[in-house]
Amino acid sequence: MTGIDMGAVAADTTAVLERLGAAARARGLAGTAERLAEAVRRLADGRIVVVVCGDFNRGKSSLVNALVRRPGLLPVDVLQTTGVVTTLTWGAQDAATVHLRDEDGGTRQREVPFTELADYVAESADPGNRLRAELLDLRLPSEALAGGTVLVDTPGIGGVFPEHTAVTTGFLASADAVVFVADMTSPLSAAELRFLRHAVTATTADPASSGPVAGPGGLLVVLTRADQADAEDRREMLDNTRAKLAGLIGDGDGGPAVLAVSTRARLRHLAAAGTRPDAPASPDGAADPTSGYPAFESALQHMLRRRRAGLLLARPLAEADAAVTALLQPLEAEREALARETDETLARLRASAEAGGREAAAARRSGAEWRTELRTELRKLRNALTGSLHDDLDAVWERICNELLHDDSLQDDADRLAAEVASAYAAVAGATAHRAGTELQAVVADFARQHRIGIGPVGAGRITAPGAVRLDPDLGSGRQPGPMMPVSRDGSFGASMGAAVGGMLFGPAGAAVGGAIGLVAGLLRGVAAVRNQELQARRRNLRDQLALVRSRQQRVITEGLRSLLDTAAEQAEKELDSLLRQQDESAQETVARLRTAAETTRAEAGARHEALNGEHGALVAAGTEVARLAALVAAVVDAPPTGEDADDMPGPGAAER
Amino acid sequence: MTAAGLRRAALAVLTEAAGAEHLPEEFRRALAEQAAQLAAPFAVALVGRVSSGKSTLVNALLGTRLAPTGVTELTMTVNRFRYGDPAALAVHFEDGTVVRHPDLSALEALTVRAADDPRRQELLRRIDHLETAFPHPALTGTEIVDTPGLDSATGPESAATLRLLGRTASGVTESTLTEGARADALVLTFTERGVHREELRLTADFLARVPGLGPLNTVGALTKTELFWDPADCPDPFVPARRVADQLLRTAGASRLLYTVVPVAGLLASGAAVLDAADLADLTALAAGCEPLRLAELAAEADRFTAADGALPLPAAARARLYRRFGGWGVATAQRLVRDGAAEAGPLRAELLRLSGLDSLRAVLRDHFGGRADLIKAARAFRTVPRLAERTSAGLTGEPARAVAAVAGAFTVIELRHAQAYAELRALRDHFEGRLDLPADQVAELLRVTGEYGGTAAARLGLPPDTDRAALLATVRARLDHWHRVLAAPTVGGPARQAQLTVRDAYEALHHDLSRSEPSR
Repeated sequence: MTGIDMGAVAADTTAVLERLGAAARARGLAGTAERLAEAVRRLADGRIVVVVCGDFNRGKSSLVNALVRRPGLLPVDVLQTTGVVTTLTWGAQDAATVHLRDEDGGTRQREVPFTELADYVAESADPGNRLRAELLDLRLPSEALAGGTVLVDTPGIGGVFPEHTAVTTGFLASADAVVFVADMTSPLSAAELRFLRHAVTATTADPASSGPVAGPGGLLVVLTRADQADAEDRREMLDNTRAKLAGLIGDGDGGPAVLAVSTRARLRHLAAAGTRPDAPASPDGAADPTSGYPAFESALQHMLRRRRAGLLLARPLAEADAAVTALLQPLEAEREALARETDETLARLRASAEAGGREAAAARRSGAEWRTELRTELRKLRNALTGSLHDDLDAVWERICNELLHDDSLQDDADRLAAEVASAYAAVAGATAHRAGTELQAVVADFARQHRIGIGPVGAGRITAPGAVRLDPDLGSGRQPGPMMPVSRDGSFGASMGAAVGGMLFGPAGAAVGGAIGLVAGLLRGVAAVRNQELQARRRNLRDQLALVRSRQQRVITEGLRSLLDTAAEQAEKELDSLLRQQDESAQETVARLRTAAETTRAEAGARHEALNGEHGALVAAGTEVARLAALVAAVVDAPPTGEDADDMPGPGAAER
Repeated sequence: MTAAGLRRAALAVLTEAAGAEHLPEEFRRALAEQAAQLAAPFAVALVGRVSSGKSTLVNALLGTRLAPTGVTELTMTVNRFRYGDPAALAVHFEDGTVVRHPDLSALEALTVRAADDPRRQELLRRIDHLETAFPHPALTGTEIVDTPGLDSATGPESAATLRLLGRTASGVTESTLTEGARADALVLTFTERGVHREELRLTADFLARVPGLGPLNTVGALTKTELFWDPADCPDPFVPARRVADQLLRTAGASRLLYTVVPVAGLLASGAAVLDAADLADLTALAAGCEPLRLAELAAEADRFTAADGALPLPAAARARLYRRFGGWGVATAQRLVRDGAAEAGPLRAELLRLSGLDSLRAVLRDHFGGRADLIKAARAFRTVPRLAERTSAGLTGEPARAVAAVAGAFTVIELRHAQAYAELRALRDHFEGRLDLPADQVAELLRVTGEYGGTAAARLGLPPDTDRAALLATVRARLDHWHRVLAAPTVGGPARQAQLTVRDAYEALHHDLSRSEPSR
């Protein structure tokens, strides 16, 4: 495993961004300064969303409690409990917001003390979720949530509540990493394997891209209740699980890491250590050799480091690199001018700078041309996305007609039929959002490159930024004030797109997945009514009812994509505008400096050169620092996935091996 | 008894029909199969998801370690346990051949998955089911059928699982379904995690294959109850287990299917069923050498209880053996009993079986199923044969048509002759399927008089077994008076009134039997 401290990398990145920001302000480059300040804010606000999911009653909520070291925080009960999605983010103080849906479909929020969470979360306290809590947003000071990690506890799949499965499936689209929870007392079932395969493929639109859960690298499988099996049984169950997962997920290269943990042992250790919520992670972690949690936490951290590096750090570093270039260009031009051999050199320098400045300024002022072109590009993208969305929707419908309606077991199981249909549409909504995010970034980056917008080629291959274009993090705010927005407030467009769609689950528009779930109830009634008809007639009747579901789903998801792209188009323009402003500023400063240099006498030139060298040196040093950090980030991103070294980690029963 | 008479009469008709002329061959074979089922001992099959504790429960019920058990998918072959002395094993292959073994030494190899042994995998693939003869009193008159998990073979996801197990999907599912379908009654196993959607679907699939299942012949067992145990937070695992069992009965039509759901601590039950003097000695040493609260705390985690360097008495290997056999809660419970004075294996075993919930499950099997074995058996023949006859006779003419009609006619005659037994069957179905809106005391009387607590006259009247005939008759007369009064002022209609009439008629029949036997005494 790489021994890189990502906390330190993040701190150093912030420091260099702030240093460059101060330099930009000192030189009056307001646009660059603004961009740098924004990068600092994004880095501080960055989110990595870890979705904890699995079959019902496998101990997900207990596991989350143990991870944040707050036993009893999320209610745990023997009956199927978690009925709503719960997000946990870092906060200096304990605070909980429950998002409820009104009778009229609007949402409202309520602050509740931690002690009353069970009233909203547990299915037993609120069967069928009558209070209509849709999301529980917890803030607490826990080491596990540092660095922007957001833990998301989801309703269990496979239980008797079909809507739980659909909510979780829809939510996976916003995951940067997934922890799948099973346990030691019963082997992974066919239903769980089906969900895993479905989830991983549904959330990874393009296997080659760094999708939310790109293959085994973004997935950890945890077997809880390791305390209920002795070493021999544990080994057997781990082998059994690994054998089932191998080849099912990924391209056969080993499958995801499978770890055994005992939440009971963990909580006992925490109690013995008298851990306070704000206690540091390491000391008692070392004193806990049996629970498997230290190994699990370190595997999770390893996985998150890679995700964080790729999603959160790469872009601020690219920003820093661009700022270094923007700040250096005028200095270098002035230095060259001071060392001028002839007046011709000076004139040439000046002409080129003025031309560049004019170009940028003109582009900014008029803008009509590139704006029109950008809109054309985005329209093309929209058509392509809508096309593939329709293909996906047709494929779902085809599957409903050709598979689901002919699955005799589903004919008699309205609940499961409804859940299958809802999950299928949820998966399309998630995959579409993810695809939109990735492709939009690519289009805008290409566009910027073609029109030479922005300061030089970013990082010149040192940094692979997720995309040259920065989009407003509060994507869709005002349109979709869904409670998921806190989660999506990071710099990664892909993640925020996914989260926004996750947000649609709960948004007042009742979009995408929310619509699918809303339809479950209506569908059930219809299905029950046709139960006694002849098979053929029944199938026809079901098909008619599902056709209504289909048209509503298509409308809702297409509409979701449309509003997502509308917002994105505005933001793409703003972003390109900001880049042009940076370019313009830099060019203007160059022109100004050249003018000064032309008026500088030979005698003055020496002193001026000295001053410039100092300023130049500081910027070069900053550039070197950016390169160093970028190299570290690249090393982490390229580190092998956790699956490969999982076997070397200590875990329960490590002593016996 | 009337139900026994019904069964005997049906068997006689079927046996006779098997030799009748002109019957279509297929119909004759179907009748022979029905006859074989009627004649066979009452079969209870354990059916459920993979790793839901079926084999563990079989071991507990039979007081053996015959059925191999483990943490992962294990049982790959249907195994019918029936009474036989000495013990013996018969392997029924799919092609119809039978290979007999004089003892049970080959049982494990023929039951358990074959991981890396292609030859054994090939062998397992060809097996249809096993028949194990075993001398245990629980098997007199009853057969217990252990099955692979219902979901051991669903969809492409289980291909890897099946490769591990050395079976084909259709093989496992088919044998579970067909052997389960042959059973007269079912124990559906659920784990302590509660009901799974997949489980509901599989159960529905299964039930579609087995017409006539319902509360009358189906119960649920909530296995692995001990997993709820936590020495500090949940000292009695049966408290949450009962909540889950209740929820299970409430969900998705389960109460229309299941008579009840009995929570069982399966591992403790199976360990206790074979508890011997050596176990007792180990438990005693354990109890003597460690403070009980501390012991319970350590027993809650396998690693701590079996640790080599622990502060516990007994060598680590002996503790590991106890843990595998009884589980954490079992060890903690057993050492508590030993500490409280249990000094012999017999009483300790009995108390542990009671605490494990196995006694409750046994009681349900005995009272609810056992008391009605004839009724359940006969009901199936009466449901199946007339339908078969109707289907077969379509398109037939002449002698064959007459021969088939004769069989159907014979069943109608029996039905009329045993009208009371038939009416009782219907009343019970109506009750268990929730169609009777009657006061609780009337329902209790319906159950009692139709044999819920035993088939003797005394049991049917709720009197001690040694009650003399005069007292029995006096009670019957009192009940008859009561029911005449109830019926004279009708308060209910439909199935409820029919059930009331049936109760009265049951007393009339009982009165008739008791009076008739008077002179012969």
